[in-house]
Amino acid sequence: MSNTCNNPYELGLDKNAANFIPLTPLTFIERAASVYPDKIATVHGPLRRTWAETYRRCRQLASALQQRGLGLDDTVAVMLPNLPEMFEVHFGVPMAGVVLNTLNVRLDAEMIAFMLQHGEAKLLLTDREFSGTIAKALKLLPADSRPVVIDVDDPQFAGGELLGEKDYEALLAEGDPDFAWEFPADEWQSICLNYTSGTTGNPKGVVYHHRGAYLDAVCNVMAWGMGLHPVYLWTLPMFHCNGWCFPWSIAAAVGVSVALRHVRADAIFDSIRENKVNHFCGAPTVMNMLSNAPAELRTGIDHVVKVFTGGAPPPAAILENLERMGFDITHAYGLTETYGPALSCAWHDEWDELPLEQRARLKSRQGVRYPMLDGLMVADPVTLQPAPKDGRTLGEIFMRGNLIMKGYLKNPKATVEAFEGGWFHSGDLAVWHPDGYVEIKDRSKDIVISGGENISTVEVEDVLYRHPAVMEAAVVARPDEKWGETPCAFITLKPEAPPVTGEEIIEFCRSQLARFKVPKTVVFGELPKTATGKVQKFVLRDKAKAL
Amino acid sequence: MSNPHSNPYELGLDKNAANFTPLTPSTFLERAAAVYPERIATLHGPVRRTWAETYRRCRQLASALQRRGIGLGDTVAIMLPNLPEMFEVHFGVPMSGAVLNTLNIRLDAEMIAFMLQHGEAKLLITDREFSGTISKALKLLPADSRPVVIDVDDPQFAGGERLGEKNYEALLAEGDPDFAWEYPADEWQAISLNYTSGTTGNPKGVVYHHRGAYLNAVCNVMSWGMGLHPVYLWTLPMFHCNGWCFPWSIAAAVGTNVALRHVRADAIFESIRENKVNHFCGAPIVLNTLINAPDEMKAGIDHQVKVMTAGAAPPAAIIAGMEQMGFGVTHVYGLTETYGPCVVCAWHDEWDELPLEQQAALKSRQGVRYPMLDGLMVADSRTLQPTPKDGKTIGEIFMRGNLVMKGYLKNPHATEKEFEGGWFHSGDLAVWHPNGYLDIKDRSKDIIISGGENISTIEVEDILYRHPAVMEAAVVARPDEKWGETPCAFVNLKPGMEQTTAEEIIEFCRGQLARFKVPKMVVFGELPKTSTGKIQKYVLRSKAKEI
Repeated sequence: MSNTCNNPYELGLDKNAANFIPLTPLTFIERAASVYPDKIATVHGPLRRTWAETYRRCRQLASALQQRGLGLDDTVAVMLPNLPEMFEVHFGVPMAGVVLNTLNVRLDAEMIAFMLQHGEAKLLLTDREFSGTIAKALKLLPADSRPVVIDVDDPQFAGGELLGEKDYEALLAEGDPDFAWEFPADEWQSICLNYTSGTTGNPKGVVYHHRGAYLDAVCNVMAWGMGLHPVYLWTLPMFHCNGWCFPWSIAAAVGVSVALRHVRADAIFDSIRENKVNHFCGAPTVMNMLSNAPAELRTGIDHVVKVFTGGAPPPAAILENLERMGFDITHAYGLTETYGPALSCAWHDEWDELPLEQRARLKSRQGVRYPMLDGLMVADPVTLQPAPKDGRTLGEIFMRGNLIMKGYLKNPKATVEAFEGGWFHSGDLAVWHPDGYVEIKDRSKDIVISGGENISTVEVEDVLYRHPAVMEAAVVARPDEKWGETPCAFITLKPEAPPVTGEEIIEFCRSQLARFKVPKTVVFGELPKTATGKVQKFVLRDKAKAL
Repeated sequence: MSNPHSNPYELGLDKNAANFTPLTPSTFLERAAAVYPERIATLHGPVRRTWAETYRRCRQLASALQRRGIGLGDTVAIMLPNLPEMFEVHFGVPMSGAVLNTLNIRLDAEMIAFMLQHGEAKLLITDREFSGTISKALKLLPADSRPVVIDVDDPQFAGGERLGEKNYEALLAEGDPDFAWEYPADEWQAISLNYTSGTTGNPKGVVYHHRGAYLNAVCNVMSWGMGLHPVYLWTLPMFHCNGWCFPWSIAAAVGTNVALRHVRADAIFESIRENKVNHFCGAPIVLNTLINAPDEMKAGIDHQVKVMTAGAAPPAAIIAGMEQMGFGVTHVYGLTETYGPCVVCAWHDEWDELPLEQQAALKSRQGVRYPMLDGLMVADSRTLQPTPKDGKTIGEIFMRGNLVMKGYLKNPHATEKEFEGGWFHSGDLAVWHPNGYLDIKDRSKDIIISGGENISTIEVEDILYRHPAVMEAAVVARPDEKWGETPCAFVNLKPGMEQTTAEEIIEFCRGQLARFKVPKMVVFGELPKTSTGKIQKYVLRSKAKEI
């Protein structure tokens, strides 16, 4: 080995302005605008903007923010649907050195107020659609904590009211379209603040850096084989892990971002047909909506559409339906803390030979590490000893590497806890198959422990979804004197399905599950959901207790 | 602006083992072996090795090197053709912490000896085919500078002799197949040493780091749209900028490497047909041999093949010839100092509507920055003032960013010079078109200055290539009392065209060039070339002087 003091590979070979530039996804929009200025970047109904225009607008935004005294590590909050403006802020805000905080549009005023205050937003961009919530939220803030408010006044939407000092277009007009923005001095610099949806307690503010955003953006393009100039539909909220970093992916691949204000089956199919959309993402509830849509909506689509799904394990029955409809589904997994997708169910060509049912089964596994995630394991939550790859032993999913967040804003204790032992603790429970593919069985707080046995609620739900009358299902623990807990199923039936009883559901499960896993109780009705469409199991647990 | 001391985005959000990992391309091999262990990684005649096997062998190599005391800061030199072993060393050597130095196999013994000594190679892995040169080179080294020699003993090749202590398989057997290799502590750590081909003076040792290798590997996959599991043929020497970083790209995309010992048209077409090769790279010289091959050789290929070409500005005629064969050509440009390709002629779909001749002309431009190169400009060589984008004003090409080398080994003076002003000086001259596309006109040492006017030798060569009798052409300056210099053309005619006269060639040029650019003299014969197929213009300049 060489003595590092006279290692010739370390002498006179330092970083300098010519050979080192911090990684930042902002570089991609600069290139898109310079190489393909006239290609369409964003589509919103009849409105189209090119990459040159989009880049110009982003620079105006950055310049306007800077002129108003905002800069390095200030926060700008945005409360917007998936409009072109929402896409633009993913570049314009970081170009000023400011941190972008995209708010969840379905939250209530109290939660929004908490976030605005915790994140110390200096400026808020908001769409008229949310003026009710925002007006309330602003009133809850002490006067000196209120951000400057700028409205996005979308002519394609009627309703709500203007709350702010001026509108977004007027704000852009304040700025210089040739603004000479600067690269971050360090790729570890913060780019975004994303609050976790939080089912209990105060949400935590996950901080992303430019490096992670860049790497996940590129990873999406590479691992999903997006090719050049993909046409991407915004079915996934851009306030969800910054749209899983796809705004920056679309810039890197010089694609087209097709806006979607409201996620509805008819709008989605229309857009796919008209705009030749060939990529989109979504949670399984979106997949569910599409798979249950009437056949007439789906006609006339004859090109391949690739779908990336994640957020919760998709039931095999839904995957089956969508494949039959000609969608090519890739299943991914991640958390707000991992820039969105960090695992994907990397496909093996030989699996295409298998029957549809088996294929869907394999595809519902969360899979293996994304190329840019360096470490993944299923391990004992306490000792961090890796679990055996036997497809049965339950452990927690741990991850490490460049796709892991910087940490939680103003919460060093939670940050230290999340990173204990040198791994990021996901809180999700899974098994590890012999081929290394991870399969989530539950979140640690959701698992049912009955007579000392673990029951994966996800496994039971999967079986429930196979019943032809079931549209949605959630299984939670219900306290039991004898068993400790028993599984209790909450079910929403398909509207057109013939009536079915709890006994019939239980009988159906008996034929497909071990006895102790079969739900003891079945309740029919709508399921309570979080703002991102996840079923609120803690609410159902309370209901189950009260039965 | 925030006070940096109380900036919440910088408190408690530091790098740690969970959220930061140095970028290194070895991570792609680990993932390929973990996720797709049974897929074929390398193919050499009948010999096929999977990713699991390949990873095992690479770990054995790294382990064996380590056990022999070779590691951080040490150099391992390689004198191999494009065999699977050449692919393996791109991972096995860096995984031990040592630096990979792939030698140009067409160099003479004196040059090899210089490199072995300058690079301080501790171990040399060499193929029997080069035993003549290597044994001479070793004898030229002082005894205490001689590396340990290991032979690669390819059963598919007869000839040469074994020189070393043992062979490569025996070396692997010394190592542990489960070796727990370590990531580099810093992504700025050196991964490879590549000597520039150098037309004059001693070659310089370009040092790459893990970060740049990783980024260019990913950039290749993303910007060439390689997709998943490409089948890649090794027509480009892996000793040329580490095969333009493609070994690492193939691991990232989990593709298949098809070996090729000798670059010949028949072998290439056969491999494409049999192995369903869909990607390969090569200098225009290689493409020329493919175009000029007999039709029977080209028959029976009906799948899409993509070709990446660089190395010298490819004449439009060569591009047209390839596309006529149904091969899609992507034109890139770069230097050893920029990890291979860093500029690409990014295609615009609307150009597909243009006549083939015009398309080829557009495609012969070098283009725009690769997505991972952050800065590119054409500027005045001294003042670094960018030239106007008028397609006429000649300036030097400058680059900056993450695809620029670490520097020159043991040559701080040359390193500093190349990075002067915060940009890397390429030494290539070009114009910049209004759309930002670069178009190389010459290397600064090759340009002709006649009567005070610049004559781009590449422009004249482009015209010469359009003459049906011309197979190869090179234009150099010839001293002239009246004009200072005049253009002198050296032409290699196609077989069967020997009756073509100099007058005919000159007359042809008159029809297509401004008078002062037309060659005053034409000399027929074979053209002298460097080991990487580039025409040695300084040799021709000497010849031109003597005429």
